[in-house]
Amino acid sequence: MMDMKKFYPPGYEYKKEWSAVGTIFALGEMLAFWLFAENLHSAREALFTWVVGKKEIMEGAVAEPFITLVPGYMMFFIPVAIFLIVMVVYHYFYYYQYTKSIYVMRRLSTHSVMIKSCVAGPVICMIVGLIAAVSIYFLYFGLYMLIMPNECMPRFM
Amino acid sequence: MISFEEFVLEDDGPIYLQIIKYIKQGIAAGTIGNQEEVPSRRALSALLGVNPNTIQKAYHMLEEEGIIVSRSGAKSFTSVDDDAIARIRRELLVSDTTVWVKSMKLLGVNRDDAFELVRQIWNDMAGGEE
Amino acid sequence: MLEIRSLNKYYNSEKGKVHALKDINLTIGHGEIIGLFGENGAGKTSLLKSILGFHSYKGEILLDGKIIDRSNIGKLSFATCEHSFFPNLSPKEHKEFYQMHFGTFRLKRFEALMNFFELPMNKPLKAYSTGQKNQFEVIMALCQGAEYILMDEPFAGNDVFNREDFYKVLLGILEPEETIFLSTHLIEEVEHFISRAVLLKRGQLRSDVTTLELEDEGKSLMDYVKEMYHYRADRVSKALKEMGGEL
Repeated sequence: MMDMKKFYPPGYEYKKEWSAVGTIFALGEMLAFWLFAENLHSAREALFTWVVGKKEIMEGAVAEPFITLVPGYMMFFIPVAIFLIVMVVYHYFYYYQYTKSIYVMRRLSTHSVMIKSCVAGPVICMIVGLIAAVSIYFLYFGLYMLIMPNECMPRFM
Repeated sequence: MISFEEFVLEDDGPIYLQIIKYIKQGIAAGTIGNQEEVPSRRALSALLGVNPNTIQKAYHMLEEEGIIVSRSGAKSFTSVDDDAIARIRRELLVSDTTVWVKSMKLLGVNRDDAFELVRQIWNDMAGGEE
Repeated sequence: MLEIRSLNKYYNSEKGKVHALKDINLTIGHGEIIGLFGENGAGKTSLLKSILGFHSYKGEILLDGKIIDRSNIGKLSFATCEHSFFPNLSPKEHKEFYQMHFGTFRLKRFEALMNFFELPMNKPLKAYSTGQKNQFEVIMALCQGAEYILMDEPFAGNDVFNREDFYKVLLGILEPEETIFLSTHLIEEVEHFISRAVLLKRGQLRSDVTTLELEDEGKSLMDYVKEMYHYRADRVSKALKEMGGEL
């Protein structure tokens, strides 16, 4: 595991921040999944009808396109994004906590060191989070394909 | 190397004069000899906790009197022949005695009483003589 | 050489605009050990922070003829009573940080001073006592490899260690080109240590004198400072007299 310390202020407990981000992310995803599952279930049920006590696919039924089942999926990522932006600011004020280590940071010959220490960690979390969210989105699609009957697939997704 | 173990910083008078006096006293008493190494400015500064400029002033004045000379590199050595030692002794004796005489006069003591006082105290001290 | 020309600093407070530093002119050369004295609020901290560029100011501050920016700020180091070390890092980690970001870090001096003060290398700074924290703060300012070491009341706080030894060690290790600019209340303590005394009073430079000059005038530094502040030695006896009627 690469040493992540250099992306955060010196001595900062970044692992706690990761836990917090992970928790917010997980909560968002769980909510998104709950909504998706509901929509998926409804969409599937909409394809069937009862004929003589048996469940049968309606003739000419076409499944709802996948994207309509997860409207505004990325909105669930917004709390994570907001949290990470707040963390950037929190990292800056970390240099004023207990001591004024800001005095050291302001005396470094490379200005980027301080900016990097505030911003790099959250940026990396943001990228990883977005990748995870998008990957999960593709998983949803896989689930959709799995659950929906093949004969009802719409021509365009 | 001249030792400053016995040197005590007093509150009266400039430190550079105290250092000069200490070295002259050592020379007069024979505890500091000829061609003896003088501690470096920095070493003495650290030993006494005194700014190097003060040390520098003391050494400079001693150099002007010809009592110390700088040789190879940063090292300085005492340079006192018998004449110089005798001169320094006399200088210290005159200076100390002048201080005492002034004090006696201030207290209104006349010369004979002053001498008597000296004799008494001299005898009372260890190694006295009649 | 550090040149300060017509330095003025204003800041806003509830009482309105405060003129914290008034037309300060000061030149500091290599190898000097300068004591900066003045009452609370005299502007000592403002002066040091102006030099370091921690806040805006009017006037000019030049280091070897150049404005102080990121390219030459490494020549200045800073120790403050507010402490500027990283509380969660150990001294060892501080050493690594400084080595990475200050190419001039003095490793041998760091190890020698840590040994001399018997400070643990691997404990995070927040676990240190106040005295140890003060010592470490000063050590880092001394080991950065700066040419001008600025210190703002570095020995303030409830701290007991033998400062006399510290001054002696300092005199022994400082190189001829290293300069110390030390703001302190401990006038008597630093009297022999410094070569020059600068007095601020209410934002103005009231006096700038070398200790050799003072010695030749037969004045102690404390007496001189008291004089500059028009300190009246009879204050206590007067007050007691006035109170005498009530007692």
